Amino acid sequence: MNAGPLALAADALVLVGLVVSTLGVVGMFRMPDVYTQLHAASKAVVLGIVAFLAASLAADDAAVTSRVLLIAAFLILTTPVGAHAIALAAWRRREPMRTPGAIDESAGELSSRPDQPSPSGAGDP
Amino acid sequence: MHQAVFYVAALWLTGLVIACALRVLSARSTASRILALDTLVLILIGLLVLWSDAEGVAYFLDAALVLSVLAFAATLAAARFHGDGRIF
Repeated sequence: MNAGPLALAADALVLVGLVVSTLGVVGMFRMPDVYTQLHAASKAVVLGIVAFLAASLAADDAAVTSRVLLIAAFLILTTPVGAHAIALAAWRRREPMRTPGAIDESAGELSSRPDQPSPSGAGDP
Repeated sequence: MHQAVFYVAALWLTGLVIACALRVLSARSTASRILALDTLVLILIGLLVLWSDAEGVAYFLDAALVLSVLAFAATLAAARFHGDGRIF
């Protein structure tokens, strides 16, 4: 195992990913409600995993690099969608916002139930 | 990546997985529980990536990719079922 600057950079990226993921998990325990837990869990943890993926780019192997890029792109694209779905579900179930000073600005804007599609099932005109 | 860093990181991530499992059990609401499960699977993906890097083989990454797709579908389905009462 060579100890070139690339390997040291990979070590540093792994440690950075560990710290960031740990902060995300700690935030999931410390935040008062699910809306703020989403900030920690969906952003910090994914960025930590992306740091791990970047560290394994140092292997300089085409099979590894292609899969790593695919996983990183997929995670970065899909995690906000999942976090938004969780937040919308919590909001529709009227989950209380326990964060001090929290204001529900969309209290009257969205229906508590999802909008029903038109009876014919037609899309946009 | 050096062996010592890998061992430290793998142990630490295992601790994070255990913490997430405790969070799944102790969450105050269902949405929080779904979030904790999603985070647990994300950390498992990180563990797989780390393992593939340490062993120098690529096929753990296939498992990580499949796991990320499954986690996304499961989170979306659970959240939509929790919020809307239906998945589609």
